[in-house]
Amino acid sequence: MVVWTDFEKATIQDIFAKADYDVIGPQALARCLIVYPWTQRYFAKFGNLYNAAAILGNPMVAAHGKTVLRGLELAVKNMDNIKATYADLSVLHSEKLHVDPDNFRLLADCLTIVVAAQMGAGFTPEVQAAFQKFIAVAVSALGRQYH
Amino acid sequence: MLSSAEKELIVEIWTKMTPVAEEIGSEALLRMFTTFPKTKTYFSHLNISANSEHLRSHGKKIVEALAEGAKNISTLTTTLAPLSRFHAYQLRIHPTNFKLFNHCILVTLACRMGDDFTPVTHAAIDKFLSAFSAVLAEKFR
Repeated sequence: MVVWTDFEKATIQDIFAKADYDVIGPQALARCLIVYPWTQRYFAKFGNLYNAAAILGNPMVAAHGKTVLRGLELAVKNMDNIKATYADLSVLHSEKLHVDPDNFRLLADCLTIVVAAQMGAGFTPEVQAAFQKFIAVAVSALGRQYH
Repeated sequence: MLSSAEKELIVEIWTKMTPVAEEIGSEALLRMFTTFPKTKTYFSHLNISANSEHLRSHGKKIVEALAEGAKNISTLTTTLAPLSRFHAYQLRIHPTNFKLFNHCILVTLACRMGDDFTPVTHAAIDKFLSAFSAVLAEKFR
């Protein structure tokens, strides 16, 4: 079971309370598709992903970015039980979507970068550590139901 | 593979980083030590607490080496040969740690550059850092 310090819990709740999901979700996903182009393999039906500008302007990417963030919000609301909360999502990603779980880590890194860029100096090393711990738990839970 | 536009972008960014090498380098290191505590095991002989002399000088050294590499991207293997030998035969750092440090450099740049740390810039720097680390890890086996 994951043990969260008071600082970690407060930090995560604070970051997500202040975050604009409609902005950071799309930005994180677009960044992932641009920085790690092989991740585009899962989005063949999304239309024009030809270059960075196309990806950043693609409405399907934006919509999906918001979906992903809303999924992450589930973990924020259930920090003491992320594993169970994500059981179904994990099955979905493995059995229906067939996503290589190593790619979750890439999206997580991109999300970290987006949050860092937004928070600037407020994204201190301690805040970063708390955020990355949370993200790592979410990524691990998402990868659990792969057999 | 780095395009010529990316190479120019990289030189531009690292030229800007050189005057603040100590700040950038020590911040990236501190982020790495705080987020990934296992990385501290390589520094038990130094005082790497926030703002320490060792943290600052070590951070400066690393960023200056990166800037040097940025100026010689097409000849990274030759330029970095001494550093490569040093990392392989003396430091023997587990190669996964390069990725952790590279990530923390990216976070440091993101915090300082905000919106200017565009996806395109992020991609170019990430590719450069990966290429740099690959050369450092080349002689490991």
